[in-house]
Amino acid sequence: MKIEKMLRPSSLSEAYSAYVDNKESVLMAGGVFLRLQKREVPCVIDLSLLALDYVKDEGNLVKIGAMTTLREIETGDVLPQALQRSVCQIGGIGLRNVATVGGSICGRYPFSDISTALLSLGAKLVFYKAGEVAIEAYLEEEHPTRDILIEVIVPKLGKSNFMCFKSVYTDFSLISVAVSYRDEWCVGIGSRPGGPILVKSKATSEKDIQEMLKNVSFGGDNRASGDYRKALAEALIDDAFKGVSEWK
Amino acid sequence: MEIELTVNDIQFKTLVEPDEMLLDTLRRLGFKSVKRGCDTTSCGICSVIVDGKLVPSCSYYSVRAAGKSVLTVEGIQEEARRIGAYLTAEGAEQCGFCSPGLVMAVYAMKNELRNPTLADIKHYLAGNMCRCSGYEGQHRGILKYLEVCGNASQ
Ligand SMILES: Cc1cc2nc3c(=O)[nH]c(=O)nc-3n(C[C@H](O)[C@H](O)[C@H](O)COP(=O)(O)OP(=O)(O)OC[C@H]3O[C@@H](n4cnc5c(N)ncnc54)[C@H](O)[C@@H]3O)c2cc1C
Repeated sequence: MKIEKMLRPSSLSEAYSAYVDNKESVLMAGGVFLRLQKREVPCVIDLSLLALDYVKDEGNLVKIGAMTTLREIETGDVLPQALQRSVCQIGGIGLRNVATVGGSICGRYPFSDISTALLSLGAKLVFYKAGEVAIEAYLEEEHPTRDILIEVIVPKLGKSNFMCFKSVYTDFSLISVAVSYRDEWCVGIGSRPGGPILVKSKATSEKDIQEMLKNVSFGGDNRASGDYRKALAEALIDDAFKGVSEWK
Repeated sequence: MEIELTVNDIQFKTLVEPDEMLLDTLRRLGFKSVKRGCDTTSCGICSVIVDGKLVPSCSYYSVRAAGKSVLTVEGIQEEARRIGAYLTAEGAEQCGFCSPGLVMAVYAMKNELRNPTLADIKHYLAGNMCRCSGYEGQHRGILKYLEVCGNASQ
């Protein structure tokens, strides 16, 4: 990506004004994915000086600053297992030391392992202008308004888990699933064309899994067919449920 | 934009473009151990350490290195020689193009993990690709190196 000008604001209000005043400006978190884009950008707003890099334990929930890196999530000690597991095979340690949770959510990548985990956990996103928005609602929006994600609120559920299938250890997942229990089983399914979605079930038998996946589309692409993804999803969800006794 | 940064304990003041990557700045400043591999954050060949953390210099914006301390192989020559010797002894060196990145990753790992197991080592180094030697020899060499440093689980 070619950048004409880089702004490095030191307050959120300054960053927000620059972002809404110049419709062609782009926010930069880790910048890792952004830089791969083949385009010219007149103005990039660097979010790295806004002190948005934190993990705060608040009893029954955890607040994660948007600029928290994937490695900090991987190595943190108060975060739900599903979230920690979702990041630990994303690229190498170097990438995870730079890429952020905010960039991962707001990039709205269909392959996002992190959004899959956050969907299952029922995370809330806190934006500078819009305030609190459920991640499910945010991912469903076709064209979200220009806003800055400040933090992610993750409930500290008793147990959760994440599983994915990658053909190479650090590759993009061919399918990923995250499971947690919030009055019923909440299952995030990601790395399917169309992006991560949330489905729910009262029970965990093979029949229940098939029923839960009945209306989920598993598109094919050059990496895997839809049928293959569906078979993998069924197997991974089944494994995740069966491993429930080992959940943390 | 003008930035000040420290590379291997030497202070620099230099002009960088807004879209310049640390890889290019470091090479321009003469640190030629830093190599360009995939240029997409996938291979680990360009790895350097910024403020104690391993980062891919191909995807780390130079402006962000302002006020920070960068470490490359030139800054840890003695240690790099030792790591290199253990790799060579296990037949894990061929073209050597990935070595600077791998050496920096091993150095970062040694400082970050206490008594890592083989599984920990594999996980930590999964982002450092080698297209000649395969990984078995690397792992043997690294385990021996950590043993000698008093930082191995076996
Ligand atoms: C080689 C490679 C392999 C990867 N493999 C995986 C994988 O297997 N699984 C996976 O889930 N992910 C993977 N990723 C993606 C990675 O995890 C990050 O999601 C990605 O790098 C974006 O994070 P970033 O911090 O670099 O964001 P950036 O590139 O800086 O930004 C991404 C987008 O989000 C917007 N944005 C950033 N922060 C905010 C904010 N606070 N508010 C509003 N908008 C914002 C930016 O404007 C931009 O559009 C991979 C990336 C690479 C480069």
